Amino acid sequence: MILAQSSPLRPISANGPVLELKNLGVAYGRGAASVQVVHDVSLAVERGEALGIVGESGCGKSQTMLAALGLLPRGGRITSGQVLLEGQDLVGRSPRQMRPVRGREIALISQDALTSLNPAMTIGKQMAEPMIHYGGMSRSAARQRCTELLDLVGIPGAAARLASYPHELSGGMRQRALIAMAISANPKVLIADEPTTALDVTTQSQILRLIDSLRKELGMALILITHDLGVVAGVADRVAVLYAGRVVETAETETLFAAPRHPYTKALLDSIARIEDDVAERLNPIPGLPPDPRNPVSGCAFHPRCEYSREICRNALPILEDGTGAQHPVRCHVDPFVSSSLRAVGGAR
Amino acid sequence: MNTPAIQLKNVSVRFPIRTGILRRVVGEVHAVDDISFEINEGETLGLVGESGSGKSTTGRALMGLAPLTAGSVACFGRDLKQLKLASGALPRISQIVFQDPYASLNPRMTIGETLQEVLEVHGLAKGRDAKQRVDMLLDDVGLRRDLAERHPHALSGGQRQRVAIARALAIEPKFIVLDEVVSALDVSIQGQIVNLLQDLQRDRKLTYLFITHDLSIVRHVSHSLVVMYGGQVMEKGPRKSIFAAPLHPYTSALLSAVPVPDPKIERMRPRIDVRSEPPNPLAPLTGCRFQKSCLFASEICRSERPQLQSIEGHDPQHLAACHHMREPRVREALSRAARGALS
Repeated sequence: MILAQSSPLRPISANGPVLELKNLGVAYGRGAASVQVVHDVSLAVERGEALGIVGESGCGKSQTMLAALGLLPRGGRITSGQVLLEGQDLVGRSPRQMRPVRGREIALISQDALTSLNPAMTIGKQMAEPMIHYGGMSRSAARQRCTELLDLVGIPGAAARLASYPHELSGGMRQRALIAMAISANPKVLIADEPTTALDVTTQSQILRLIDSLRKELGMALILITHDLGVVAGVADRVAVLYAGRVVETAETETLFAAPRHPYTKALLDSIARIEDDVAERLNPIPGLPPDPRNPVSGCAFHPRCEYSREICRNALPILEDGTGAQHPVRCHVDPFVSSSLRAVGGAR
Repeated sequence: MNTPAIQLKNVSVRFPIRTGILRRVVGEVHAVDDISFEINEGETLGLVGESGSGKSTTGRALMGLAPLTAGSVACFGRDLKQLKLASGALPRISQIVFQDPYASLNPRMTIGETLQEVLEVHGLAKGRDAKQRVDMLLDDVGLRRDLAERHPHALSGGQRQRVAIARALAIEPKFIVLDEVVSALDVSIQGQIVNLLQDLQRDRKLTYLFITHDLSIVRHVSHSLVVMYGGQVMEKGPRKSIFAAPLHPYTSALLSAVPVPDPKIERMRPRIDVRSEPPNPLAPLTGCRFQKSCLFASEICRSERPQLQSIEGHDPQHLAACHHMREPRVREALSRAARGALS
């Protein structure tokens, strides 16, 4: 059980994970008013690997990553666990010690490119600034590098765009510029937090494929955070599903889609409006709402919305365990799909 | 044939660009350019396109919120201009629900007060009567009655969208413009709102204009479809015919872009790509608006605007504006991409 909790995602290569979260907990407030938003989350991502983190709003997916980056807002704190970057624990480091980590080791792309960019500074200037100040580059070398980067992320007329202000670019172009900035210091890990949620579908598809090709080209590890399982289908190697601040299932992407084990994962998959469905069919949303972390649910947090819940689900928190030995741990007492998932895994071999 | 509930004829919307102290007009934004379509009563028309395609401006024009530069709109047989002149007449027929209910609900008013205000402003109910109506409205949209005491911030995104729908329903309109109503919601919750809207439509014979960039939702809700790009209609027709075989490269590109929640298909399927060059509404292109993003564009696309036409072997109401849509190589590429998305 301890093994399952501490390393649910066993590294596949011998190198070990580049970023590993071990039993991470995050809470806001203190004492009786303390609210735990992330419980005991363990995740790992290897060099060049893409890990999808999926869950609804408020499931703790962004909080987990902010904690890993040392960027929790005021009032938030890490209550337990470790954040290991190539084996070095980042928890407890001072802001000054974290500064060289962010951007250079772990970079973040957030949902809203417009608020992440400085509106009063040209794209070229805000891209070049860290290169000059931290990278020790000359002005002309930085300019050269910026042009290369904008070119790399598919911005046409890159050299001319250096003089543009963020508002002069379209949403997709801004997101590309932000990606260019994120990869400018060759980070080992790129965290993309809902990178396409604010974009049109055609732009979304382009940005996802861009992030994926950059990951492969530059050998970065990618953590893709989203509420849309459709988005991870094309990019992630493995997926971790979060619910109410806990990992409820992790698996290789194909396995997860073909044979989900947790009722929540199954419900998420069923809720997607598939383009092949016809109008007569009703959509299958998940009933109800995710729980409010201020009023935690007893037992399994999903039980009020779960069609398979039994007595035990109301009383006891299930542990994340890999009963099948197929690298597919799940946190469920009932595991109603276990037989079908075993079949699928057996068939794939 | 019945007269359609909503009818747009050659509608254009242009916004003047003013500058200097004298506010001289120095140019125009061509937001919507000569579009026509109809919606039958009790049906949903899906209006699809990306940011800047003019789809939201079209919705606002239907609500009388954007001025028509040219063309006409008829709502249930009455001209939009006349309806606007008769005070309160237009909102009683048409209502609009926006993407972000958080921005469209007053944060200082409780849900009950917001709904009650609408009823009182339109003289539909007062006092205790209004309170009862509020309870019924909350029932209609599947919210618990005690939520009337809450403020918008205490509600989830899906609940707030239900409140916005209740507010639109309060006036008992016949027609509702739904502008990206589920785009900001979690995928797991989107279906709750879509199912609610479909139930309401069935029970009350409501007519919807469903504006979105998400083709997969549109397929679930629409009877017919209009695909816009750069302020113009690229393709329109019955949903079945369009999804069976899209005629326009842009529609096909939209289909290609929708993520398929199956890793095997998603990684292998053929796509129709668009080059990322959004149209400039200040200086609209001559010829086809989609030319710069289109894989099949040629000389004629740059010089001549393609007209909406039907194509043999397809539903005669299924129209597209493309010079190349009859060519076998284009048909082949489009149908391969469509099969990839729909398999």
